[in-house]
Amino acid sequence: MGYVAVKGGTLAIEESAKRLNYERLKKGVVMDCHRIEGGMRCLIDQVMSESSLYNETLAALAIKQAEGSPEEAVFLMRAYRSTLPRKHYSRTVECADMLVERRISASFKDIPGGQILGAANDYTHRLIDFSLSEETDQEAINWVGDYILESGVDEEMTDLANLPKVLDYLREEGLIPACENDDSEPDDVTKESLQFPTSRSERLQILTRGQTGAVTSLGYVALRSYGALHPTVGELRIGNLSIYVDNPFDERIGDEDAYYIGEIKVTEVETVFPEDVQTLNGQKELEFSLGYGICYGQNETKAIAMSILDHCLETGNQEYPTHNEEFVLLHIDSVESTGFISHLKLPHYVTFQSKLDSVRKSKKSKDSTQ
Amino acid sequence: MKLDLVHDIQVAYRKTLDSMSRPGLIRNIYSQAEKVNMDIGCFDSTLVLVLMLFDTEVKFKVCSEREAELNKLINQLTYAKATEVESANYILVLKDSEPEDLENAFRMAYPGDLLDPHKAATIIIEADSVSNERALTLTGPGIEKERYIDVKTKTNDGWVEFRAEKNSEYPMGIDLIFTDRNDNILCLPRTTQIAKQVVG
Repeated sequence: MGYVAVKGGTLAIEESAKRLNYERLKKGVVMDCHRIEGGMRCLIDQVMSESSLYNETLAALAIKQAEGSPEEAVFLMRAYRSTLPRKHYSRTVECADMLVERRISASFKDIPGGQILGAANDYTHRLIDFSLSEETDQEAINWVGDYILESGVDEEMTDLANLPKVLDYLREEGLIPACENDDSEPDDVTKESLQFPTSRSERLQILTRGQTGAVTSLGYVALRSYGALHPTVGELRIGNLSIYVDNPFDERIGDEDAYYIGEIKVTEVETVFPEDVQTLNGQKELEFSLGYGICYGQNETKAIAMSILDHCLETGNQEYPTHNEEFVLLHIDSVESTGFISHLKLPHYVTFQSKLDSVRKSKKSKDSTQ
Repeated sequence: MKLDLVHDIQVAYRKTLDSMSRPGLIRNIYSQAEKVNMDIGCFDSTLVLVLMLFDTEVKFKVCSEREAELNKLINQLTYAKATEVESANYILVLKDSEPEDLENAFRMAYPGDLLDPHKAATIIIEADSVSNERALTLTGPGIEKERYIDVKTKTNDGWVEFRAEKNSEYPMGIDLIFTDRNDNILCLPRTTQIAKQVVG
């Protein structure tokens, strides 16, 4: 018998739940969900990305309930997600159609369309701004008003919805191989459990919903020592993508019949990996291969790390754990890893008792032989 | 009163599930089926099953004189897509179907494969009546000793034999749900063994 149901403790559990609520409320201040939504953009993006559910309002609520713990908020969101009926599939989204807010390339300075810095922490001093502790709503409104006035007249006429992809420029030059569209139906990791070897669609899905910290760490491992890659960010773009669903009633499929249902913000990264390739006459040549990363919201580190891991898993060099799909894909999910570790707190009375018995027995037999 | 797509369907679902886990147990969903306020040409109870089981992921096949019309209606109600018998998740054999449709459905239905036997098709058959008369004896998982059923279909057309042949390679096989005019539900999962009563 594997498990014995543990009975009792109901009262203690109810009290524990009360205590948890007390901890949330004891300072007599309640977080307003609008304020979380307004001021916790990055945490919301992270939670939405890890829970594979794009809804800022719900993410704010989950963060409030979880008292800001990302793993708990993601758990709540995933649980809620699993109750939702899936009524429609969206049309394929092309990131070339993104309405860009930020777009940079580390490979070329003068990319067609230009470098657009947008909003980023990269160029700040990283000093704590103590004046923020006194910030008021009115100040915020005033600042935004001034900012809009200041940047109201846009003299440059860059078409932000139509920026060319940097890598297409390399393709046109013939420096990286052209790639075919893969229009096969993607496998869905939320419906079928993972079986190895995985398809690329499955790998990308697991990576994009991976825990931010885990994806970043493993990406760093691949970069620093295990494989020691040094990729260059070909293009990193952040912006909004419009989502359309087809008319579900009949098979008439044309652009005219699709419905616009909203937009999502994503971070998309394409990294370029220089690689030595042996040619037929024995000489070494440098070639470029690619890695791809994308995730909900603005989360650049995760997206770049994802593109590194994508490249590693595509290469599949079994010398390195970061190239092993079981090692990477089975361990980066937030709910799976935190869940399995948390289960160690649950009663293991019977399992432990049997271990204890064996230890006692072996001690006894040792004592008696001495 | 209109059928409540959450609560009424949930009640009907519990009953169908009960019937599926205790093969031969006939449950009645009249109190839900009577709330169906549209006549699309099948039993109300069949439509309740359709609303319960179908969604945009589901592919179905209707065997009926009015197949095209029903395909469109079911698609509009559930977003499920009509397809051919071989690839359908659910096959509806309605009361106005041709006699050979039933045999065809059994012969062509997808029985799953050894890795994924749960992906097999389910056939929903509209019978004239289902009862616990002693015509067929059921044994198998979910039945303590044995249970008796009688299914009267229009032609009484050897479905027991078709089913036995289709389910000979367990765990592959198909599951059956019968509905009748009185909104009775009878389920026969592939694990149930059927023996005909011998008179005498």
